[in-house]
Amino acid sequence: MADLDNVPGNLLRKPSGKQEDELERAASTYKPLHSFRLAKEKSYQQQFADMYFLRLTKIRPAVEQIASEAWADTVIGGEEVKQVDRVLDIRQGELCWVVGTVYMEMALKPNIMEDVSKDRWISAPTSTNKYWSEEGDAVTLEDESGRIRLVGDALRSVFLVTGCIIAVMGTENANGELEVIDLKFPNLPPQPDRWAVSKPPGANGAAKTKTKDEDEEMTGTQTKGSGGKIAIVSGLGFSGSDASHAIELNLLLEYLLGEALDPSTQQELSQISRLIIAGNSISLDERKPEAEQQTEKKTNKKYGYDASSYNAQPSQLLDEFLATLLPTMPVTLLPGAQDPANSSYPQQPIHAAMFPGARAYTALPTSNDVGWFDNVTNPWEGEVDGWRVLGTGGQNLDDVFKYVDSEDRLGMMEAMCRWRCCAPTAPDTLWAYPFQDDDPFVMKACPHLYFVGCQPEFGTKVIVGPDAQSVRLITVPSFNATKEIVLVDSETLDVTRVKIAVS
Amino acid sequence: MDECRNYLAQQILTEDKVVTYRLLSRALKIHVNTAKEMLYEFHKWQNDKRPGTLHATYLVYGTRRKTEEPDGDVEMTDSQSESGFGTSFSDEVLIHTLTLAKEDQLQDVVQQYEQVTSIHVYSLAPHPLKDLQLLIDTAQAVTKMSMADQSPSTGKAYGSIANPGVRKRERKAGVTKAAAPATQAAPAVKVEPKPQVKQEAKQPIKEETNAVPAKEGKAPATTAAKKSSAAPSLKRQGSSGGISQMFAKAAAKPRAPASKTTSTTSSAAAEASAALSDEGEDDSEMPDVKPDPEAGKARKSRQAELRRMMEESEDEEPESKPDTPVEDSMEGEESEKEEEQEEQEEEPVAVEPEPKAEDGPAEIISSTGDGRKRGRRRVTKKKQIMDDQGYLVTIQEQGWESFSEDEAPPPVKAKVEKVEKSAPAAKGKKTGAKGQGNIMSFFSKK
Repeated sequence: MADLDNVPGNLLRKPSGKQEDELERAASTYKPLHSFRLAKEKSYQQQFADMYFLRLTKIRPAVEQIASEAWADTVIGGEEVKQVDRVLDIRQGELCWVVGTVYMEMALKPNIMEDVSKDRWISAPTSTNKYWSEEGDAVTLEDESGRIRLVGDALRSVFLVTGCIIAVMGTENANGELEVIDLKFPNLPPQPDRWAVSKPPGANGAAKTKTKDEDEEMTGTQTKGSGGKIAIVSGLGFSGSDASHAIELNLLLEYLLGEALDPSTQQELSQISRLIIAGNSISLDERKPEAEQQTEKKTNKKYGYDASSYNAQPSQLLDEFLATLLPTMPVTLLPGAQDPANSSYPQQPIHAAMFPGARAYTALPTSNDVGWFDNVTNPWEGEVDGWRVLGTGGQNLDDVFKYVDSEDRLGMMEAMCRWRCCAPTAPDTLWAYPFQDDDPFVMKACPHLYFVGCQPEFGTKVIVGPDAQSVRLITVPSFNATKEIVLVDSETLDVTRVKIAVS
Repeated sequence: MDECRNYLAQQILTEDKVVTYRLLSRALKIHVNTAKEMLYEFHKWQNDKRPGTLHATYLVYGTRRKTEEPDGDVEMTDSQSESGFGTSFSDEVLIHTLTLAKEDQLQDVVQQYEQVTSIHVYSLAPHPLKDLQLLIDTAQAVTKMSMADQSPSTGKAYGSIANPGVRKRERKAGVTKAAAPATQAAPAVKVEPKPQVKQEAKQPIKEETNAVPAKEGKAPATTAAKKSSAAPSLKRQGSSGGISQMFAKAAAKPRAPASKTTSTTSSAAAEASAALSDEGEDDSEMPDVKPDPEAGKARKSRQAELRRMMEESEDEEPESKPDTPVEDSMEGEESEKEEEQEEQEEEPVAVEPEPKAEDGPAEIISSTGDGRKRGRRRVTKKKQIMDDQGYLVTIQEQGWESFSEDEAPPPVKAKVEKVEKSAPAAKGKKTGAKGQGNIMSFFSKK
């Protein structure tokens, strides 16, 4: 029970007149990796099949290794398990294992072939919350050679979505289906060491953090983490018409600026070394209703677009927010589903022209410098304070969510890590660029921190891999719904939440 | 202290405004923490004198008690789902809560906390705030104030956490400055050429600093604009100057001949650029490239088409009709002149690199006389032959081709072709608009 009399940071007092300390913000070591950046000149002529092929070729060795270790010399019912190379080589009644790509046959899932056959050239946005339904869904495994339907109880215990690569062991039954006895995922990819691509700040600091790190690992104790904090927020939802959470946004700004609260708390706040905005900074809702009224009036349209119907206020508010915050804190901005960026994965950075005030802090587009205000892709990969970080604006998780009968979003994030693919459902139901040479969604390196923005609620856990990889998973809630931000300790990756309430 | 009281009394009691600690700190240029204390002090002092005249809001920070989480609150729905599926998998983490509370609810809010680490007055108002979202107006006022003076030192004085690592680049104010020189250039024209020539005389070669040719290039352009017509150009000078300046810059950059062709229009510029031409090495090539009237027309028609496209609104709007033809004709005349000049400026530059790439080194000029140039140049030809097995094989072969400058240079040819192409296209648009013309027809209801 709190008592107002012994609040440590009580500013309900007469002005003391003492000189305030000048606070300095903790430095942020930061190196973005441009894993998801597309070339400026990009063609959309290619087929999507190459992505599946690339993904299978890239992940297959890892799965094969795990599967062959697990199933080598396994004898079931007097029969030894043998590997077959292709789905088509499976013989009826033979016990075998095979690697392939999962494809989910689902009645509610949008199907491009159906669209084409019905002569619909613009896909309707999907309205369903889930593709999953009680019946009519089938799990199939495919590779370049063919496709086989998977059946068996083993499938129910795990998450499976289109596009993930797995190894299955079983026999083909009389119906031509594969009765699955066991299945294996590629599991977590190798994890780079901390400070793999960036240097610890200063020689002194390096030595200090290093030893501290080791200490922590040795003793295994949970220290409080004296290092800085990384703030992650998503769904700021700046809006021109809906001001219902405007004051919360302003309180957030004051909080991050370190102007709110008392000196000792401000000291804590000065440890927040970076803000990562994970999508949906701008709210979409007011863009819809006006469209109809406008058609009545013949206004001055250029290229059929009425410029006067455009409301620039949301982006102006966002720009103001950023421009106020940037002098004191570096910001990484990922686009989200509602932001003014391309809609297909990987989303490219929001153009700096959207931020007349904040763009002075960006890097020159031609230079290789890292911007103080860094507009990045979604998904985005980088190294923050030495930790490999993978973050998305949430579309990848939302789409996986539709495939499975579960609400366990953290579990799905874990599954994505174990599939080694951060957007398995692209390009099937998650729109994506048709990659030809590389599937960037395949996780080459295991992140230390994996966050997904714009989620309905907060959640976090740590998963551990076979080679002692450890990944901190975070679902970052939308700020406009929950008024929450997430603080991650940059030494221990421990997570705390900050909730802003207005009563 | 008195200053502060006066300010607060005036703002809140007289002007009926809401004052937050940030506003106070900006207005009086004091540290935010001092401002918070001053708000408290003023609140106490005023309410002691006359209770109920001031209403405060407080900012409370700390950890709430866990049991209080699913309290009957607006966040009810969220809290409920929170206790459901998701959190059973999630680690429990510490939640700090920052609450903005009205004076009369402060006790209740504090009750919900397990530990309050920080509390201060957030704002003072002469009446109880019905909706705390109203504070956003004050917040925006603060934002405007801080946007207005953005020197890094001020943030420090107010108590923002300073960041020594901040990197901000100075942007060249490209947009505002681009327009300015256009108008400035006009007077500069008269002054500029003279020293220019003198300079030339002293050091004929390679005396060009970058800035000088740029201005030089501008000079003819603006004179051209001036020449066209005095009265309307006043208004238009800004814009037309802007356009021609663009070309002028391009023209001024590579070498002198570009401006040489223009020089016929203004004698001053002529002198200057005649001198300039010393610097360019391939004089002999250039004079022959006559300002191509065809190309000029092509540009004009293209530009006209573009303009038409831009002005093409849903239907013909009545308001735009009366003024467009007039302006068009005026603009047409003017732009014609300008364009021709621009043409002259731009054309050689555009043309020049290409023949160079093709036949520059592999060109033998056998005779140049009476403004004509004859010679042979190397060209790559495609040849299709049947090989001994009866397959058609395409090979590239280098060969020599004689030419005389009589024939238009290749790129100009391409332009001529474009005229022919674009002209029917423009016509086809009027008649066969159904076919392909307006993209809007694709989206309109059928």
